[in-house]
Amino acid sequence: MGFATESYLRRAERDDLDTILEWMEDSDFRYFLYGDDAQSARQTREKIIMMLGRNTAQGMPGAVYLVIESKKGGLLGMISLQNISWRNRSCNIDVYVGAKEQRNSMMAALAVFRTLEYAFDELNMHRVSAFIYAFNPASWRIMEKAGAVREITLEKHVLRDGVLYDAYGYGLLREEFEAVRNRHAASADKASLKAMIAFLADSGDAAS
Amino acid sequence: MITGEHTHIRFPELDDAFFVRQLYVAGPKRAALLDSRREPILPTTPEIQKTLLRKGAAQGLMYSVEDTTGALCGWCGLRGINYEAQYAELVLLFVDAAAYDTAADEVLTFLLGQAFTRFRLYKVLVLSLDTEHALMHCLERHGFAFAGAQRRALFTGGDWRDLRTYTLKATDYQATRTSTT
Repeated sequence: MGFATESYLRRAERDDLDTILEWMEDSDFRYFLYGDDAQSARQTREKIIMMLGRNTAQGMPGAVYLVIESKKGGLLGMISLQNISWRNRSCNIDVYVGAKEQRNSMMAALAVFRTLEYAFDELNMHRVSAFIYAFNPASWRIMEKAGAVREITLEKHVLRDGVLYDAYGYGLLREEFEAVRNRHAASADKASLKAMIAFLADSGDAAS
Repeated sequence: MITGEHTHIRFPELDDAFFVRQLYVAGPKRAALLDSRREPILPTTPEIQKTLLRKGAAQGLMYSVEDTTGALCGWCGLRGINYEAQYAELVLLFVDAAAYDTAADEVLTFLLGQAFTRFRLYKVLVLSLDTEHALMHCLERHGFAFAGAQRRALFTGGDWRDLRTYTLKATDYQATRTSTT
């Protein structure tokens, strides 16, 4: 099993609740993404239930929640496309790798690449944005590798452990993503969403 | 009421909702009136009245601006205050573009005083569409720095528009004030 088939994406569902709750309660989640220490476990749980409940299979959802999974390691992380604007054909992407030992692996980059393919090729997005803190280079490097441009730098914008850090606004337009994908066509084909679905179908799992 | 040479700045009243609604309905698209997905919205007058009754407006974070005749000419304020990182979004809207050269100076002086003296914020941010030339010139004149633009963030009038972000830090604001006094 190669790196391209080791992990895959699927829609987040109710059965993932406990793992997602555990991640969201981890201080790392609040450090790298968002959240409030004062929030109780119950409030977090309700938020996740609401979030997963909104994840409709049909229609034009305001957000899409995906999990990264592997047969060997179980749930590894989550990716969401939020603030979807069907008018502007734009959305924001958030990524969280719950499996700490996998944070610097290719798995996260692969999952982001496939999610971007889903956003542009399936949801017909025109633009994907990401808001990433300067102290999280692993995340913004993945976006840059995918062709995203650092459009905004907000100096001293987020407070962590008493220190103010910069925050970056990234934007990826469809043609920029396509250019990167064409440039790396050989490896992109193997890592693609299409290849992932084909692999899951061949191995007896229907991609969801 | 804060009385200046060109404006009266006051807390909003329920009747102001009709004026605010016109800002949404008529005239060009403005960044300050887009929702979190950067989509234009069209609130009803009762919905705007409900917003005016909310804590922020009642506590004096949003203000109505009248011209010297007492007619409403603008809407402004601070919103989304982040006390942890000490920043807020500054909103500045005038019906007439010419007001960004005159009335806006008084309004900005007042709002920046609120942001940096009353709330002791570290910086303020302003969003502007690339078509809001009068607003952008006004911000640059007041020392705001361009932080970047979200390219093709809004689709309107058959074309894509960029959403620009400007920031002003308290230290830069104080330095400008010191050098001009």
